[in-house]
Amino acid sequence: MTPTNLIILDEAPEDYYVRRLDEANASGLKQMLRSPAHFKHWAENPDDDKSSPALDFGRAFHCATLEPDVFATTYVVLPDDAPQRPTVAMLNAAKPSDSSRERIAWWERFNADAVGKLILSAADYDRAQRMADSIRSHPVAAGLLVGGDREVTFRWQDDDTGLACKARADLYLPGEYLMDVKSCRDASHEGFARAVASYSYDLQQAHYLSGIRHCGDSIRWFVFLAIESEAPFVCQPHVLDVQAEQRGESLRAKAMRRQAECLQSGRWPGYSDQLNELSLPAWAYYQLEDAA
Amino acid sequence: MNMLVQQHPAPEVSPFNDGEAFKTAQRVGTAMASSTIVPKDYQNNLPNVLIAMEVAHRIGASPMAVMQSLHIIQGRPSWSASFLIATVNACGRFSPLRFEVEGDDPEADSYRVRAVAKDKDSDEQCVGPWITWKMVKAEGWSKKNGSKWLTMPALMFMYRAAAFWTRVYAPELSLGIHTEDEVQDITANYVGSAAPKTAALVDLNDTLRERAAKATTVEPVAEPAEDAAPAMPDPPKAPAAPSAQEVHDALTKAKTSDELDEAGDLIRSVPDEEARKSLLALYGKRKPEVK
Repeated sequence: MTPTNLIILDEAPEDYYVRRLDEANASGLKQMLRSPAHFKHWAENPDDDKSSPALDFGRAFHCATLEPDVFATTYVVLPDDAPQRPTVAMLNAAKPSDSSRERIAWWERFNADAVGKLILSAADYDRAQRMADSIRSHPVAAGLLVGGDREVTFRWQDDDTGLACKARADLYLPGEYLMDVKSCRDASHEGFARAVASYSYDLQQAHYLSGIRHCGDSIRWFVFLAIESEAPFVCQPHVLDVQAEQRGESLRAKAMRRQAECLQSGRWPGYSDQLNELSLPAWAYYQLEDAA
Repeated sequence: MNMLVQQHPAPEVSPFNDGEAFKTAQRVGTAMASSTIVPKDYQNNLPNVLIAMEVAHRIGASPMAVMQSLHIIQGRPSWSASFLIATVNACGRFSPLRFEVEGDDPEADSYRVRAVAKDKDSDEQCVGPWITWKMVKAEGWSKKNGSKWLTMPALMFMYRAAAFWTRVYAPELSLGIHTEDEVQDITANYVGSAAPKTAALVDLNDTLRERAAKATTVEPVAEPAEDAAPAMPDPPKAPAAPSAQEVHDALTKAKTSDELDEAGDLIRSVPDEEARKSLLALYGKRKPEVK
């Protein structure tokens, strides 16, 4: 293992999630597959997708599944019957009514308890817990959570392109497997296969396994733990077959080469610099046959 | 079954040979797919019919025979064993498949069966591998729910012997497709197609299963130690909603605009709709008074 190839167990999220044009990670490589221009925009505008209700919930659910102890100390639930926050008028009133005083006092107590914590609605808190419970009660998925390190960062230098690379695994069990939890609408064989193809999860696997190899481990397995985000929160662990693995490696190699070339040239083009002659998809011609 | 295979010579051109053949095959296939007497997997499913036509072309059978004998089990195409035997018998290169059986009791551990046929060109005797109970048990074929190895072992021995023989001596006839009973045997007792397919993956699956079971018995996740911090601090109890009378009193007593607004904020907390209307009217009436 060279000094640049590291496994870091305690890298702070804010350090890891810094985006750079000269650094390759799975999310950036997926952008690069779309076009270098999309990658550049993504890298230079991290605040565009820093927070959204879906992302916030995703983080909470990951925490509930992978680090239940941290979840308990990081998140606080806002009960359904919580009173509305006191208005400015209430807070500034010289002689607030009894009910106003109760509202103000309730929020003061709640805010005191919630200092430094993230607030989750009761519904989201319940959903995150039920998803985590579903995983813990699956006869195989539960085994994935036994042991291993959570939120592990890998940093290495790619042999082919020289690019600095990084990856952050949800769970890493040295010598055995990497695991990534994916919430999804359909965790079934067919449904999750579509998600893998659509969101290039196979590229992510190729990138992570490359990282782990550069860092001196030769684990074979990368397990996607798919969990449906709607009741009954069915979960299913998946391992990609050989063809899917190969597709991921090809996609990654293509994106890595493209990023290295753009970095060297300083040009980050869109789809093409040339006039494009447009062909229509095959299905468009079925309509023509039907009309005839 | 022999008659079906022999009486319908294969189409001379594969549906996938060229564009013209494909167009013709599409027309024929569309007609077949619209028939109600083809099996369900092929009804209104032109792609499946086209594949059956291609398979029929390759093995020299009629498309209808292929459709009746090529079944989809848990997403995998599979032959009926009797069709596979008929295809071998009808191909003309071998004498009809025959079976050597050792033992009288199909349930006895020593019972074994193999398939044999003679190559007509070389006169060579083609002998398939023995199928034995040791093999059946080691592969776990008899352990599946509803296994026919337990209810009709003699037939299963012959079917499996024929499948193995074909795979060795005439793989071009089975096209690498397993028989129906093989697919049922090798498909593990997992839900749908999520079953692990390689030995290494089966090992990982078993390891995780053991770990999960151990974790459940040794380290119950849902039972924190008594002195551990509670999973989530109890939030403060929400105050009771103000009654209509309390809001009415607050509206009446308000001396400033702020106090009136503050009381007005409480109106929405009153559950009774009629009371809310009345309180809103009072709020509207008092507003000009406190300005």
